[in-house]
Amino acid sequence: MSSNTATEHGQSAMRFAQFKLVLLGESAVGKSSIVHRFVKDSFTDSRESTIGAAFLTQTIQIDANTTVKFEIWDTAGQERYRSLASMYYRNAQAALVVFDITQESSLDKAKYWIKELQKQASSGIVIALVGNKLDLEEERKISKDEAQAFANELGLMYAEVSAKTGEKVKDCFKDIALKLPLEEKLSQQGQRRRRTVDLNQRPSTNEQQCAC
Amino acid sequence: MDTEVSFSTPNLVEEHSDALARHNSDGGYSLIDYYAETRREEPFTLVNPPHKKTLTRTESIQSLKKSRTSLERVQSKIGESINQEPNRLNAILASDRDRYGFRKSNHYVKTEDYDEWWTQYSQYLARRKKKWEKLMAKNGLLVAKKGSPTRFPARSEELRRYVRKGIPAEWRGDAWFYFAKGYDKLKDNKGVYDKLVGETMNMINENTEAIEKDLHRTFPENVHFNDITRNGITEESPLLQTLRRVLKCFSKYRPSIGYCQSLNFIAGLLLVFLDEERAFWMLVIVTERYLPGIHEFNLEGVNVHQGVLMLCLRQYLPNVWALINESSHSNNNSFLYDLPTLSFCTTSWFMSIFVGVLPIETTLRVWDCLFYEESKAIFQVSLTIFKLLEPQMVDLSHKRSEDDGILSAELFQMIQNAPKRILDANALMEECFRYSSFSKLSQEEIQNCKKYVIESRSRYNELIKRRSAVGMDEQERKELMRTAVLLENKQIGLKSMNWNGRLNSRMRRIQQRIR
Repeated sequence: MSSNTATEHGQSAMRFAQFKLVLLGESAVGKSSIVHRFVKDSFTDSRESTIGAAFLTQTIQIDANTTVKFEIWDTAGQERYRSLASMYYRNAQAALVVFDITQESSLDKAKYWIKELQKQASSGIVIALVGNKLDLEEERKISKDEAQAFANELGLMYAEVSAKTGEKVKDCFKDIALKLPLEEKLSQQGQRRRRTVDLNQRPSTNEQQCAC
Repeated sequence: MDTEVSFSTPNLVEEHSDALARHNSDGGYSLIDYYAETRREEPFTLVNPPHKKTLTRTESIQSLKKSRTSLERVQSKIGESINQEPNRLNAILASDRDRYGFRKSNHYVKTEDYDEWWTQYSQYLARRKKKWEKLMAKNGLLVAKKGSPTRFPARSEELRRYVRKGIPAEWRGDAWFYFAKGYDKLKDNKGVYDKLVGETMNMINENTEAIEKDLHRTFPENVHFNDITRNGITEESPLLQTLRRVLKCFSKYRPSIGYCQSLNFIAGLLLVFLDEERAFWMLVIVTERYLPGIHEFNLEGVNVHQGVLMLCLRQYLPNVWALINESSHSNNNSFLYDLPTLSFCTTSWFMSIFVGVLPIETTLRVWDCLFYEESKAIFQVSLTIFKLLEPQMVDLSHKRSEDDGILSAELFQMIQNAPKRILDANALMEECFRYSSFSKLSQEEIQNCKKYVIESRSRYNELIKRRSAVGMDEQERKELMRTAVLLENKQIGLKSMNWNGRLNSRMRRIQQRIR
């Protein structure tokens, strides 16, 4: 049994929770670039296309005593990867659905993904619609109002970012973290620590242990 | 030939294709010869890259000719740099690029590490080259000093050993093509590629759009795949222009695949070693013989191969399997339908045949074996990677405060990142083919196993389809899967049907004795 978390030692009320986040969206809208900006604070104009999926983690502090760790699945954008993508988002608690503000068709693809998530993903999933390439404002094809209205209508978060300049990328992840069911997660984690091992129960993948 | 080529797209000049076919059938003319004849005296002023606007026929022909000449230049440059004269090998130490034009260092491999490894490895390469030359001479195959053989010795234990120790880089393209029976393919399809080039030149569809998006995202770390800026004018890399043609032709030739992300990396790497037409046919062979189904539209082939890999892991690396198997039912095969989360990491191992997964020199050594030994090599190498990672994996799992039954983030990252540091291709290959319990894994076993996975998955999908008519949510789906498995175990006597490595190896020994 684990007893090494700060909470259990009662030192202070340091809280730590881990969440799964998946990135979806059309090919070449900048999913990997957003992740790399968030995780490594770097950007390259020549990023290789993602094959299958890539996995990264990043931790952010949302207030003085709360830390959230994101386990990020960055997926390939091509249409045919849809069948694989469902495996990635099945147990995700958050999704970033990305489109490119300079590519009209990319918003349609984003809408498809949102529908798909609402149908297939776990019901409490936090979805953010994210328009990337804000640095190419002069080439914009999708108005902020249009996308924002769509997000509002479906009750999604909405953000416009630039992976290239880094503008709003961190904020976007932080906003998601703030929307996640933190309390619920913490109590789940606590419960699991006290749980006896039940061999017949297949643990669902959204139960992540605390990796302190 | 198992697929008929359809020439239905009417977007390019009929007479031109006919003429091409004529030339090819009676004189073996290449496309370039033909274009040279039809060249008109117009100045060549193409400002936009060829894909940005529809070209007139003359422009297309001119640009194709120009691109092919530049490609030849690039390839001969690569050829020079992979020539294994000792001074060339040393030049790599002074450069920030490897002999194929890739950046030596990256996030996972430091320049010092690369140089240290290369100092040893380049000597090894020189020794191997001498041995290959002797082997060729012994088999009566003379190789000109700077040339490359188009024929190789007949298959034998000895040759297989040589291939496993690495084909000389300057012979690689020819050897791959020879071992993969590319010349038969070429002979059966005289003129087909040239015709496809003509037909696809101005083709625009979903596939070509996807190809455009990926072209500049193919090996940006390789200097030959970068655009060239001269006197303020940026010119597209000849390799990328060629890659575009190969991928477009492929998407037309294999409509069931079209364009699939990851083919860009396979075709791109092939183009470093083979000329355009042979690279195209090699891509065809890879997708139909070595990785059947993997790139098809529904990607079911990916899942099938993942299923086979999981069966192999269970069989040969039980300790690793214990860490990645998420199913609490230890004696059923439900993981074949509901693949372990691990398969997220291993998807690209198959789709791009380790490009971007292993360092490039290591990837090439795997490709050597693949084209000589069939797809089993991919499984053997995958298993070897897991075998090498096993101690670290077990270590990590001990550090976990409790067993969640699922793969932790740390394990994931290790499985994803550790292969990128496997520079020592020799160690990997030795482990794979000499010391491991799966070194004798046969293609037949893999085929049997694949058949079993395909059958199991289609039975499951059938069940799901029948039930989904009734309406079913996620929980019900899982429940159904569990009952389906129990049912299946009863009905088909799974244990006896189960793929059994030990039995297979006994059979093999018996067969060998008979032979």
